[in-house]
Amino acid sequence: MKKYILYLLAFLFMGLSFTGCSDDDDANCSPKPIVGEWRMVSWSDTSVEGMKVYLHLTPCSTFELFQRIENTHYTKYIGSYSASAGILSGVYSDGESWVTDYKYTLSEDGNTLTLETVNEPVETSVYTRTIIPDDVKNTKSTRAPANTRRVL
Amino acid sequence: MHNKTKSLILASLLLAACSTDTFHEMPGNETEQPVAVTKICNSADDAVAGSLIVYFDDDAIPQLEASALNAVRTRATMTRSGIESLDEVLDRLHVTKLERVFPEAGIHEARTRAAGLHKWYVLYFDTEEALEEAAEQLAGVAQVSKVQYRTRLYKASDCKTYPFEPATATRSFVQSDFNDPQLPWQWHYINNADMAVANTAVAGADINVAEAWKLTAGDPRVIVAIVDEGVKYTHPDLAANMWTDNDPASPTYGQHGHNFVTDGPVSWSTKGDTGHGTHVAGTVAAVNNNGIGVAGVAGGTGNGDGVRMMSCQIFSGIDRGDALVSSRAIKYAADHGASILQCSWGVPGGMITSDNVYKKSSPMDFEAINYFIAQKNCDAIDGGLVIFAAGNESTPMSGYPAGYRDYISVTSFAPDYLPAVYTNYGPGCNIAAPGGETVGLSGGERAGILSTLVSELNKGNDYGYMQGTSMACPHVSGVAALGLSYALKQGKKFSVEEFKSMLLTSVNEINSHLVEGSKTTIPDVSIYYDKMGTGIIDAYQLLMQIDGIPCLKVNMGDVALIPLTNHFGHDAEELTYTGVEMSEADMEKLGIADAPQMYNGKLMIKCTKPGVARIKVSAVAGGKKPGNDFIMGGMVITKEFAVIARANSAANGGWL
Repeated sequence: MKKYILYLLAFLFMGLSFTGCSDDDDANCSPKPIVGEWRMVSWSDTSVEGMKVYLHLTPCSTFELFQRIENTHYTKYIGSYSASAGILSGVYSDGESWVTDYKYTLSEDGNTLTLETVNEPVETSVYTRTIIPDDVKNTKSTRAPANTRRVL
Repeated sequence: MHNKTKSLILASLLLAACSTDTFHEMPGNETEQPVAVTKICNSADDAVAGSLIVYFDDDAIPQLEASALNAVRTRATMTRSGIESLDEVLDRLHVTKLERVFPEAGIHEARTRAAGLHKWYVLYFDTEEALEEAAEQLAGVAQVSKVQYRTRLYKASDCKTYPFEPATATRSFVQSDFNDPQLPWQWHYINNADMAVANTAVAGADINVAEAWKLTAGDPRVIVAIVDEGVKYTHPDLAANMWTDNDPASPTYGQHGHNFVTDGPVSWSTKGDTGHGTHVAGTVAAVNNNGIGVAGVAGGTGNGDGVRMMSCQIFSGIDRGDALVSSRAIKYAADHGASILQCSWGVPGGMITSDNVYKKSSPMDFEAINYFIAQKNCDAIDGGLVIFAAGNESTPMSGYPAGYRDYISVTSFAPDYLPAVYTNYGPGCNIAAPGGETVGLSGGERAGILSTLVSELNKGNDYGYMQGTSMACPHVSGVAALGLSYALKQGKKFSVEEFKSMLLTSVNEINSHLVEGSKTTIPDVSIYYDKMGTGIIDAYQLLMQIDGIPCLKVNMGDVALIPLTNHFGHDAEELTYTGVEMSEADMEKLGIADAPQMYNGKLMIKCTKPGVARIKVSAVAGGKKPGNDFIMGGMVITKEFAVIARANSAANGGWL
């Protein structure tokens, strides 16, 4: 009897495991080289000290964007993206598309991501692979002025 | 704290004495004063008897120093100068002691001399001698340049203490990473509109420090001089954050400061002491996360990483501080490593009404503070920060020295996000911070500021409430100390002017709250509109500013009108802007044809090329006009931005 229960449990576990694997095989959740956490280090060939942009591209084609540009706090945006044929494009969770699609290239070691706008004039951004700090991910940041949207 | 009538009388006397007409020879003026009288800087009202301060000409110094050396050799007290004409006066006054105000400073002597501080002397004589006659006689000596009375100072608080008593909060306690058990009652750090504090409390009427603490809670390399009553350095919630003099050659070696009233060790429980300095110190840096008592703004995380506090005692028992002891205390702070001068004292609002009068009536104090500002004691800043309480007379102008245009003058608000009933406001005031109200709001003393007390003076209680701009001021000092700590962590260095600009623009607006009828204790709070400084201080915003130069995003091709609300406070459109600067090279880089300018309180700029460039915008912080020698006003602050011009941008503000 005890052995029977063990077999049953093993069978159930295997079933669950296969179910888990089948997700990985889903086209929307593939481990693309572009997946990971990135920090923008320059834009238009300039390092902008006060401008902080972190991008998290998940294997499941969703993104999180943490930016601190015009405010003294981080603003988080989420949405979905696609990366194929060297083109990265995305849509914010509010339905608005990214400003433009981007041609993307990865360095040989896979740790530098360069994005170029497909529209003219070309704007080039360089990102390096990083671990997004917890205080950026978790910050509730400062009280925003009433007219500031903080989290989409 | 003060009888207003008395203040007005004192003010009128002082103003009469200090008027520039009185003290300056005017060519062709038939009523011109004798030369001797013009050397007397201030009024004898409320001055220390039996003592005067004298500033000598260069010519007199060699002989004075020879006499001083001789006195040292013979182990005698110096009573005469060796200058015949001067000694005649000293004889008549029966002077019992003559000495440098700022003693020989060892390794700092060269810079002391460069600042001219070695030429200030203090002399002592019988308190029965008529002070004004003595001043006139001294002023008649050719080698004497200035004579200054030792005007006494006031603490900017009523000095009433209310010991902490546990109570039941009406809302869930505030969330913080620290375990100090009384932190939930420190609404001034984290205000969640608890009705037990006041039924009119407003969430966010605080200094927004909880978020800042996630980034830094202090750094022991930052030293704050608590120029005040003696700080109880044995207090269980302060001891670990006290500065200690580690210079074996120093007369105060091993000590935590000095008592400049008695020229002895720091004291806090002499008859007449109130615990004012200990309360102020607790706000700046009571030890955080140590499981006892209260939190301090820059008190560290419980791992020995709070900022350090130096007790520069200028009030001792019933003896009030005066120009001599405060100047010596400030010089000591400068020479022993302090980079922030925390000063919750001064002369009441209305007694001095212009920077010029302040400089002329308090020349030694002024020079001592200049000396402090000039010293580089912290790697994160190229000088010293001077922070004063605005004063508690409900006067529509700052008290002094706070009101001087280079110092930060702090006004006070209560947990209801409204001005405290006592606070001074208007010209000379630069920024608001929580000073509380222990009387008048529904929570009683709990609407005051909770900090450390001297148990010997409070029936064994180590913690309790006080109110005043005295209590607001250390919030700003603490936030400034947090800012320097964070700058050290980031490896950044700022000029004093840059740091003050960041500090005064790290604010949340207050004007929208100033609606008539919103406060029962003030008939019309709208009179404070635009008069509390730039806004209420926000610690987190300061750290974010230190993190990087703020950016302004511009769409290429459009004439952009950019609100500067996020950078100059919510009242940015109301500010007076004094200039916009962008280099020609940067204008060319972004394809800008017409120089950017301010238009209706917004930055007007048109970029025709994508890229990044720098721009500087200057505005008046606190008031509509910058202060000058003759008219009290705000401080001109300049902020630098990175302008980012892009061809396109998402309507929701997303970068991609």
